[in-house]
Amino acid sequence: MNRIYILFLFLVLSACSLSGTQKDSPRAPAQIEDPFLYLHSVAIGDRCTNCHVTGDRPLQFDELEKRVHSMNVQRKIESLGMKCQSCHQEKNFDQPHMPPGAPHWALPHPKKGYNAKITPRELCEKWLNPDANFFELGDRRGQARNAQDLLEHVGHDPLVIWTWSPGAGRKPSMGTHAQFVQQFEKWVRAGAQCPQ
Amino acid sequence: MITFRVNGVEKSFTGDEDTPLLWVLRDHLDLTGTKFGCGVAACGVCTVHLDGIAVRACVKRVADVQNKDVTTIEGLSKDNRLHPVQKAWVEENVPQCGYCQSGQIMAAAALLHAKPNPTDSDIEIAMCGNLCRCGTYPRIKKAIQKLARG
Repeated sequence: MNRIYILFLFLVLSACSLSGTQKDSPRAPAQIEDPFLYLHSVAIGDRCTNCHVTGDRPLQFDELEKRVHSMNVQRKIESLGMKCQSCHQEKNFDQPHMPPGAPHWALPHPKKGYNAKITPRELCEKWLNPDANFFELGDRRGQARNAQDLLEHVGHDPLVIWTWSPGAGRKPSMGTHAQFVQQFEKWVRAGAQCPQ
Repeated sequence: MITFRVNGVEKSFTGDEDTPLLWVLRDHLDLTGTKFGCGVAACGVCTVHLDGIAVRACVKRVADVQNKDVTTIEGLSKDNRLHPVQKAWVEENVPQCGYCQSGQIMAAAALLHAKPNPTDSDIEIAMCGNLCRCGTYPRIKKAIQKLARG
């Protein structure tokens, strides 16, 4: 009888513990009220930080599996007769273990790099720093990007949108793309202020 | 219909646009010098040039080569003269079983086209995605070094 009681108690406690974990999870988008804190929670996810690196080597995989990109892939390959797009195509493949794909797959400039330990304020300041945030493609290449330009970037860039549909075996960015854009709009409309 | 140039000759393909370029080259154009290895862009054996850049033909959709120039190992030599990389490969007797070598040569040719005098580190970075089960890496590196040093 005691054994059944202990098992019952264990199951109840486990359920409470699980429920508590979900409630407190930073991956519960509805609970983040401050728009920039929401944006920060998305931006420090693996889908963004794997390529927004400050160094020369991109990362791959998620959480505990996260590691430097295999095959010694480095930023420099773009000047050595290859491109990221030599392997990464314009869309994902259906089969497992294939390289993920989205249009213009490439590493962002190292000045746009950060890691998951970046604070909301540091990230905000980075985004608003014209020296660390500029167009890399198109007619305005090299020009600084302001908050409104960033909103355009996160709203329409297919590589950003890909992070919510990264293909089998990869964890998507937190929430939905629509929620992210909504929070971004809120932040921009409120004057793009950085959190303290 | 997808149209593109292979080794300077206009070609077209009317099948499924998601067909990997590798199968179009091998099965439809009979250019079997480009080999199938892993099929997931992890070994480099299927390397060809797309507008001069080394790409993995096993994962490149044929639709993505529309109006572009594809060069395969068959098109690397010109006027019956070996490409400098091929000559260096012969001189250093690089291949063992040979299966990966067309991919190795295409990767090396793209590297040397982009950077005629690569450092040892450049060679290691550029060639790292091309695997060789026979372990001919020292000879591959030596052949490229020879070209880099003129």
